[in-house]
Amino acid sequence: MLCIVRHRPVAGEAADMNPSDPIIEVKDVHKRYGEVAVLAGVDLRLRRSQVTVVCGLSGSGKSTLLRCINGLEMFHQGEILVDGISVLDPRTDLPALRAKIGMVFQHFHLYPHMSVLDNITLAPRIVSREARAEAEATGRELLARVGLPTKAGNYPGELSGGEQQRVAIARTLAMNPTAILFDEPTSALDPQMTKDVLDVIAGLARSGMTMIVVTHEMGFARKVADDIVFLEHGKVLAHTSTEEFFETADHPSILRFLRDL
Amino acid sequence: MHYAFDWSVLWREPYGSLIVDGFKMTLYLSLTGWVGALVFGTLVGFGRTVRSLPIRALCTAYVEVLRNVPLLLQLFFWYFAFPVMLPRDIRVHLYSFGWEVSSAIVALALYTSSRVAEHIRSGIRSVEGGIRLAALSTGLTRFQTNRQVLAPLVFRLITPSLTSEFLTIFKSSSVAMTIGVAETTFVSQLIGNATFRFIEASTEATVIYLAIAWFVATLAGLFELKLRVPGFIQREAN
Amino acid sequence: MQLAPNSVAFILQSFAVNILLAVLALPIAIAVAALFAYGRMSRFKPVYYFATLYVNVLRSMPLIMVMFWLYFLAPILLGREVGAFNSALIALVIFEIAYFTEIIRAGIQSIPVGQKYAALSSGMRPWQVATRVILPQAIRRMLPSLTTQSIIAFQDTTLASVIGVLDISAAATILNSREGRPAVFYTLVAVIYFATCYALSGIVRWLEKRPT
Repeated sequence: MLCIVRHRPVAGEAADMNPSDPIIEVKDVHKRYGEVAVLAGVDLRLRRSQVTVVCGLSGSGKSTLLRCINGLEMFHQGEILVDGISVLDPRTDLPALRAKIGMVFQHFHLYPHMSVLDNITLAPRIVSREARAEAEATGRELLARVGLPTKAGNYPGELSGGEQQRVAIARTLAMNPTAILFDEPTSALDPQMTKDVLDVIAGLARSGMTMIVVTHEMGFARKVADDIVFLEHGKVLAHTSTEEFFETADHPSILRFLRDL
Repeated sequence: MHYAFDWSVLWREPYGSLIVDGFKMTLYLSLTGWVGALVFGTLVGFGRTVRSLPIRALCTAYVEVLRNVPLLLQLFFWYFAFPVMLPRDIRVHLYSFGWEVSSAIVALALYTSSRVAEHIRSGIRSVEGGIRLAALSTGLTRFQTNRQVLAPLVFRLITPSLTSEFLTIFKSSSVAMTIGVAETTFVSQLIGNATFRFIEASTEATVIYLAIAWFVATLAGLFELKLRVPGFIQREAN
Repeated sequence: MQLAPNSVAFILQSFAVNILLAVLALPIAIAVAALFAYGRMSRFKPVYYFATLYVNVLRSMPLIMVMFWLYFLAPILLGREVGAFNSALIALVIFEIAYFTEIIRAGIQSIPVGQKYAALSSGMRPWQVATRVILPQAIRRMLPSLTTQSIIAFQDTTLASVIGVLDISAAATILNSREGRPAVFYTLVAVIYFATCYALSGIVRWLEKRPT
């Protein structure tokens, strides 16, 4: 992948942006799989420290949207800007962009052949060129922060789902991202583990992390989200503040969704 | 490179008809061997799941011996060594009706049958447990379970592996040339030696094998489409 | 059943030829096959078509034919005498590359795509993703198949005798024509090969049992 670097993004800052500019801008994005429209004109704006929850039924395009934001998937129409840099622009250095945006997956995707600490320190060591000692020190702090201070030497296969997901969050935090995308982080977990992980995410929100969270956990959304985006068949049916969503949403699909929770 | 091409060696008599006969011999060896391989392979493959320990051990020994000796050495054994171990009269009888071809078929069939047995075994392992228990619990005997439920399912699952073995037996038939059987490879080298047009001769043999492979692949595609078991997730069967 | 000691020595010496062919051919074939495997997955059309054509053609032909081709072409292409052993070696390498390519490709593609996503999301570059995350996992998965195919390649070395290499099968034929006791020699040779391959396949069994 030959990318000529037009602008080398530095974590957290861009040369000519002021702090209230959006970190992520999604403008009228369309994506098709063959005949089927997965995203049909999606708009989104995410400011510093903002927490947006994206919800909707399965197949509404939520995960696809997240993967388009950090360039894991391409889209056909529209624009996505991360810190002012266009994701689709062939001149963009995608790995550098991805280093600024963290992503946490439904199935954790920890590297099974590496210890927990190595999982967390791999990217800082080989992408950010940190020394091993530094990276491990940071890694241990992050493990403590997500509630797993004793698991550094364990392997992913020895951990429960909830523990694995918290390690995945620590792995993402290790790169010091400006924003984190959560793709249904608790859908593969049982209720107790779900609570543990949501607590960690809520803690991140309180500390001012900028986040997009795709989830079905509307109780969590109500407490933590600043605004809520409801997707159906790739279209944004509603994008309102959290209160408005739960109090005054009137679209039949949304009402059905809230009722079936 | 001073090589004068002369493609006419391929259809000039007697070479043209040699090539055709060689091709027919390749087909004969492979198809006959394949029938034997399926018969013995199925017996031995399922024989490894019966309750009787001696039979299981015998089948396992069968497979391990035939898999671990190279096909060429197996061929030499059947052609050279085996007749010598027989009583004189039988031996003479064998030689009189062309033991070359028969020993080649025996070697091919047995070698391939051990591989078929292995595919069947891994197919059985990937569907066993649940389905066998379910069938037994409805009152079927072990034999009925094998025959009515497991065998059809296993064969449909291992169709890709079996079509691959089917192609392999065509390629393996070339080993018969070492004992003088006039199949495709043998003929190509014969023509090459007689006319010194090695490249043309080897090309025609290569083209024949490629054509066979293409044909088998197309056939396999049709087979696998019709016999695919929808929605079945199986463990990696190699 | 008397066996002259130098007969046995002769057989074992010739067996060493088979072992040597395999030991030389396999590392080269596997290394090149790894490249071809990525070629088979490449989006760059010329590379993809070349790798795919190579694999399909070579998997359609018997090894004996490849040996004959090399035997004639090698001196012409390399401009000098190549000798039976070297021709057989090159033929074996060329042939086995096609088979190892498919094994390696299947191994790489068996790693869940989520691993690639997770690694890319941290900002790793594609080659870092391949070497640090995908390949370490893929190689572990491939080991049983790689070993099985290696044992098959070891058996295939006996075909070198058709172009004149003095391997164990040629040795058996020579001894038989000298002393006329086919039952002894051909059975002995088969037993030697069986013992070796059975022991080697024990390694495969051990690999498959190991918890990942």
